[in-house]
Amino acid sequence: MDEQGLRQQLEKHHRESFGWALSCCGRDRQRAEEVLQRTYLKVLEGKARFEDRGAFKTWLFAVIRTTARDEKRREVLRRIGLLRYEANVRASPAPNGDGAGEALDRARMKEAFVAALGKLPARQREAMQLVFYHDMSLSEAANVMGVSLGSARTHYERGKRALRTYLATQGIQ
Amino acid sequence: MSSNPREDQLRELFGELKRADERETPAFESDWVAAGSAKKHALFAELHYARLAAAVLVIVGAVALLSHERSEKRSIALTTSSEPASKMDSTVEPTPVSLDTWQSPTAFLLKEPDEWDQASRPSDGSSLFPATQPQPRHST
Repeated sequence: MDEQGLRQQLEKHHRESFGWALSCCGRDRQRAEEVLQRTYLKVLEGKARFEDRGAFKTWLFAVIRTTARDEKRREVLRRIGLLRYEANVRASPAPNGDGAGEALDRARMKEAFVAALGKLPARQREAMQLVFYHDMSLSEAANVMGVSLGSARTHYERGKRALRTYLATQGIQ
Repeated sequence: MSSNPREDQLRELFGELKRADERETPAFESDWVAAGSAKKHALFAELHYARLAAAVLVIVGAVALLSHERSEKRSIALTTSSEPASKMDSTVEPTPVSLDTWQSPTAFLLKEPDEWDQASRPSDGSSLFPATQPQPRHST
């Protein structure tokens, strides 16, 4: 695929890619954007090459996931002082425990939902996000996550169960 | 995949999250341009490192050449200074010894016992003292 074709494909999936990058970066908008730019850079430099096997979206999501993991590793190194520390103030939403029984408005509901998602183990969150947010099949999700279909199914089922439990404690039934 | 009302609710929550994210999605153009400029920057950085490496290589080469020349001069000076004083005083220029044949005065210390000069070792049965010729007896 030539650069123009790649550009068209990336533009087509840009919104979904940003959503996936957000999920991979713990909903940190700034980091998600950095990850997306690094992904595009990898594609431009040919470090990540689409081999025309499978769907472009699945391949792109796998690249974003790997890039996000690399970024996270770099961030850890920065924090322990091996690399220059860069202050990154993250506004993570605090879990709200006193909302049981109350009617939550949309904003609060979203906040509680994001908090509940954040509590899930990474694999479960990824499986949930890929299936429910990006409308992928479990097989596609397994490809993106780099695990077997059976493993993806397990993460998906456990994630659903855990998410329901968290949401129930937040009063979202 | 959904028919379960609980799954529908999850799908709805995720859908709402997706719509909110889409409103906050940065423009593709800005991310694409940023990636392009990062690529140029990376290329420049690579070129910078290549130049740096070439400069270091030139310096190391120059130092190696200089030190080699210095050691060569020193070895020639050593050879000429080991000549006898009478010769040194003479008007004849001392011929420099080639580096291939020059040996350090203490080079023999590095030799294995097998390589020692055979002539300097006494052979079996021979005396350490020089043999004296028996004198013919003169009867008086």
